[in-house]
Amino acid sequence: MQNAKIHKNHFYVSAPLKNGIGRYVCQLQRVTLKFCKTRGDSKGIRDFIESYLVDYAKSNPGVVVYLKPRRHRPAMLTMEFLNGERHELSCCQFDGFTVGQFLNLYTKCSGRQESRLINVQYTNHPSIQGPWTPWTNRNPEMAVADLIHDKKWREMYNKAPSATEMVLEMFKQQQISNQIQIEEKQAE
Amino acid sequence: MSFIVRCILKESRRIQTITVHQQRNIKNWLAPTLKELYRRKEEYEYLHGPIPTPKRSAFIEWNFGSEIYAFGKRLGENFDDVLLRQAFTNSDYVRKILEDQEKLGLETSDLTKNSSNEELSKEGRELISQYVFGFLRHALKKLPEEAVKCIHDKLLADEMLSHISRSLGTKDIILTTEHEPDEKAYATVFCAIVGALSRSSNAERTGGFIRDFVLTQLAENSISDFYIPNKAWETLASLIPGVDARLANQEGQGTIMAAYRVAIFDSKKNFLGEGFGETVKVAREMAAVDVLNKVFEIDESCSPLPLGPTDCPKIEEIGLKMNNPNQSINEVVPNIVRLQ
Repeated sequence: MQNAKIHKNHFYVSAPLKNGIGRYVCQLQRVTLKFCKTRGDSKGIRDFIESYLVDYAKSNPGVVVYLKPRRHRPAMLTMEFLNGERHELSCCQFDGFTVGQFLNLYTKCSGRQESRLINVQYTNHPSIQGPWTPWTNRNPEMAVADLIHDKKWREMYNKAPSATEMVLEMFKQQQISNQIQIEEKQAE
Repeated sequence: MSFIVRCILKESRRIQTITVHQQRNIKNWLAPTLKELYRRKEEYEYLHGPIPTPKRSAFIEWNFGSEIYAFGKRLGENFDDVLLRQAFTNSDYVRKILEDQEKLGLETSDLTKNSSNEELSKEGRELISQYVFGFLRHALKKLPEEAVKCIHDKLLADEMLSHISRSLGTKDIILTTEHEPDEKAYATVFCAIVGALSRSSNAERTGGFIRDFVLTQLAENSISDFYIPNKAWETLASLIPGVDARLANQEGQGTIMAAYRVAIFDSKKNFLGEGFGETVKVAREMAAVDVLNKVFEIDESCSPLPLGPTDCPKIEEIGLKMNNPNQSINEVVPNIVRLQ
């Protein structure tokens, strides 16, 4: 991976097109085997073609296999996936069986580039009891109305005044009568 | 161990990344070579216009018959070869071939006006529509018909069908005159494939195909994301007489972080649901949506859709529901006991 991209290529667990929920679709679309008929590098891939290829093709009928013999060119596997990705693997000096092993590996890949798994788990519903709200851990009394001291409620539900209110009324009356007395005295 | 080589293919407009494995180092000549190639490409494109991406079918390693065969096998179905080829042939392609043949004065060979995928596509779309309706009505019995139709329309939209089509690998096989098929072409091809399958196979397999590729798009997302009622509070008020919304809490008024919490109660003061929002109206709407989700049984705690191999509904069960619409939203009688 290029150093700059090594941290940007990350993913959560997911399957392309919800693969597996209904039926499983092999994500490998086609594979091209490029090799030379004479070069020593391609011996392994030639052995693979002779011994293992037909069995592979029979067991994976959904994968199209193309053979591309090219003189003096190195041995190579090109995998094309359903998501449009192309992966190339150089098979120089591979064993025939090793080529088969790699091919089997790519048959089970989704074609995503090598990327870092953010987490092994993923869920669309991370919260069971509901996500945090500003009122999650608050004292529920904050939502309770204080009716004892609310004059409007008292007027509606309790016609008689409370003792405190009676005392306050008496005090006010006293203040008013005091004031009247002072004014009368001043008038004299 | 591996690194991405930004190879610029001669004809490609986009820089196509190819993942190359098993190289321990990057050679000194690689970067300057790529820079030079990129410069030459830019120069060419400045003078002659953009270079189109090559079609995969134009490569030397391409065998149309094998691709068609593999396509069918990859999906696990037995298609009739002729029908499947027809499904991939777009009408504009057929038209062009016929025009070219006329110009050259040749007799029209096996391609006729009916060789395109139009008819198959219509058949397929009808089948998908019927099956989706039947499945949704079977799986979501309490969901009103308007909501079922809303989800159905979203699933059968061109966008959705073309996305499914592309992910199944139809891109390289579609026969069109345009360089790259558009959304409508992808959707048409997918419907035509379903049509071809119905003619090659039985109803059970066609139903399974539609379920596995179209209906699974509902799987991991909540169904309530596909259907959001338009006027939730008004709907709810008409469904449950005496429903009452109360402001339960508020926070941060006058700021941009204002939050309101509205709880909905019925006439007997039973709690039905709650919602949050940045204004009281939004919060009430969200609360109404919450209650409606509970009424229609598409809330977070609802059972998952029967999409797996063991619990999927049989084709007879779907058939029963295909022509029996669910109750309308006005006829719904909510089970208040269940809501509490």
